[in-house]
Amino acid sequence: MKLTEITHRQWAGYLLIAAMLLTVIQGLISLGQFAGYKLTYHHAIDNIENRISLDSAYLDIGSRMMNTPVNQSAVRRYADRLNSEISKLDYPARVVTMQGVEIENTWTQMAEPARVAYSQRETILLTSAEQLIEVTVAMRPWYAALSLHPGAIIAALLLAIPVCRQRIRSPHPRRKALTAEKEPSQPRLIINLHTKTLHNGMCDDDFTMQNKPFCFYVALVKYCIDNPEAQLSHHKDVPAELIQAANGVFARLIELGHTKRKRPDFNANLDKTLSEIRSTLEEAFGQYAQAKEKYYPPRAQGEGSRSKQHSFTLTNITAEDVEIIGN
Amino acid sequence: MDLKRTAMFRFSKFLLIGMIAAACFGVGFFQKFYELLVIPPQIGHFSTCPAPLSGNREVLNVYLTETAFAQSMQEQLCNNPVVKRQFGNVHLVVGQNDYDTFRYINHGVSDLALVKSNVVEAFSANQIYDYHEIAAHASYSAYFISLREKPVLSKEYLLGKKIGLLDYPSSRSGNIVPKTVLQSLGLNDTNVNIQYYSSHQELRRALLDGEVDIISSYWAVDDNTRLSRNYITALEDNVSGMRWYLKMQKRNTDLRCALQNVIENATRTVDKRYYQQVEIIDRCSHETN
Repeated sequence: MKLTEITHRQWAGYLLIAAMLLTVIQGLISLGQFAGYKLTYHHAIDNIENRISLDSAYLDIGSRMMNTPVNQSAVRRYADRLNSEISKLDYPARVVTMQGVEIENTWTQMAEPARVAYSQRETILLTSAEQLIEVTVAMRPWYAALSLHPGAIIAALLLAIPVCRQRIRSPHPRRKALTAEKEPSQPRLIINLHTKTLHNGMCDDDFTMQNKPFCFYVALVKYCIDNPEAQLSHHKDVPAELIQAANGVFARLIELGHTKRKRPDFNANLDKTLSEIRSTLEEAFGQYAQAKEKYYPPRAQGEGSRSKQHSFTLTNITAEDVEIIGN
Repeated sequence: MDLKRTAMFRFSKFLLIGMIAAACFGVGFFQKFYELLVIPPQIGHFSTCPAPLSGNREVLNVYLTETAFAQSMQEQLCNNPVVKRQFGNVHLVVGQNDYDTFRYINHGVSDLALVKSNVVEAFSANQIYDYHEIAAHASYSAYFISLREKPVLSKEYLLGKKIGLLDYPSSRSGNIVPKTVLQSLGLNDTNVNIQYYSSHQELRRALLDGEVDIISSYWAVDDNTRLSRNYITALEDNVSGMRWYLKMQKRNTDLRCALQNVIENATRTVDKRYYQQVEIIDRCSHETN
């Protein structure tokens, strides 16, 4: 399909599908971003906690038991050094307070926009036999981790193309029905095994046949769909595959309760069988000469050797031309 | 056959959708997830010479309790010919608290140390590791300092007063001397309000802010501008000053002389007036090089 052939409606549909795909793809990417954020922050907090735990043994953090206060300048110096280091290592967190001491150089004196970005707080409590150390860490909130990925837009636009093509080729059943209503209907062979009848798809009339021609015709239709090049001659035995198919249809009729009689010999009286078939098809498709050609086993033209070469194969029939109910 | 093909088609479709979903999730995940390096220790940092002095594995361990001249000390030591000859590097640590001093001195880790004599003598480190005094800073007095009146050393006067002391027990002027005086007057934590601070600067700030009535400290030159000398009362006049100790387990006299030179030169450049005056003990009679 050329771009110029696409209607406004189809363009709108394409954009709508692309928008829906973008929502789904970006949703999945955001889910991944959130998981990545969570894991990274978890690692960051763990590493900060480990570092402070190990360093606190040598830090003058004060002790309630020893009645000693927090050495504020030492704690501030330590936390400033820690913040500088974690900033260098690209950690997504900063130490805000430690044992009640506000960290100045690397936090309160930090540029306002950068500080505001770290709006989420987490308190770490480190407990030893004599001491409880409280550290407040500032982090970026989880929603700051979510961002529109340019790949999501590209993927949505690209994936929308095959989805749209698919929709144009095989529209939604309801739309398909509406389209069918608008288009002028064509005759189509409908074989109903439940009622053992033929229909032309145009009127409500049922066209019946005897068991033998009915079974043979159904088998012939199936055989010709699968073997459109096959040569079926009056003067040769009917192919075993076709006979087998006819027997299968007969067995199905028994199952459906149409007959209890023994299986007919489909090789015998082939001309008569074909004649009965043609007669019924004349009735069913009499008004639709063009459609009838597909379903009608060709008659022999001429006499002698020419008639011997004649084939009654339904050469133009395809699976789309026939509907078999109760198969 | 058709049913099987349809099922296969459906399965492939779901598999493809699943793979695309997983890929989207993966893209988002790896956009925000990154491996974080472990944070190196942020305390107990030591400095060394910019380059090893020689292939010698012996290291000169130096422990200081004052950051003011750590850098000049380091430079002097790294450029000293005797140190260069005898050691492969210099390892200089500036202690943060009493615990650091205790560990470095009483485990005999440091070759050269600037500490108070009471810390060295408390656990007989001078006898165990042969720590010899090679230089000393001036002795000083410990005072009770007040803002609006001269403190009186009596139980009646001090009862109910808020007194600011230093929190580290090795401090003479800020902890040992005032506590000894209070104890001799029959005062202790239960009948006077003692508040602890981390440094002499913190004590002065607390006094000026009105957090405490009296502090115990030395008299610094800067105090003349912000406090009144009329409102101080001496607690002890001859508190021994900071001492330089050298571990002399060998008769390494060259090193002793070299380090005395280094101390003299390094203290000359320091900002703090107290440390500028240093007395070299048993000065070498010969020059070393």
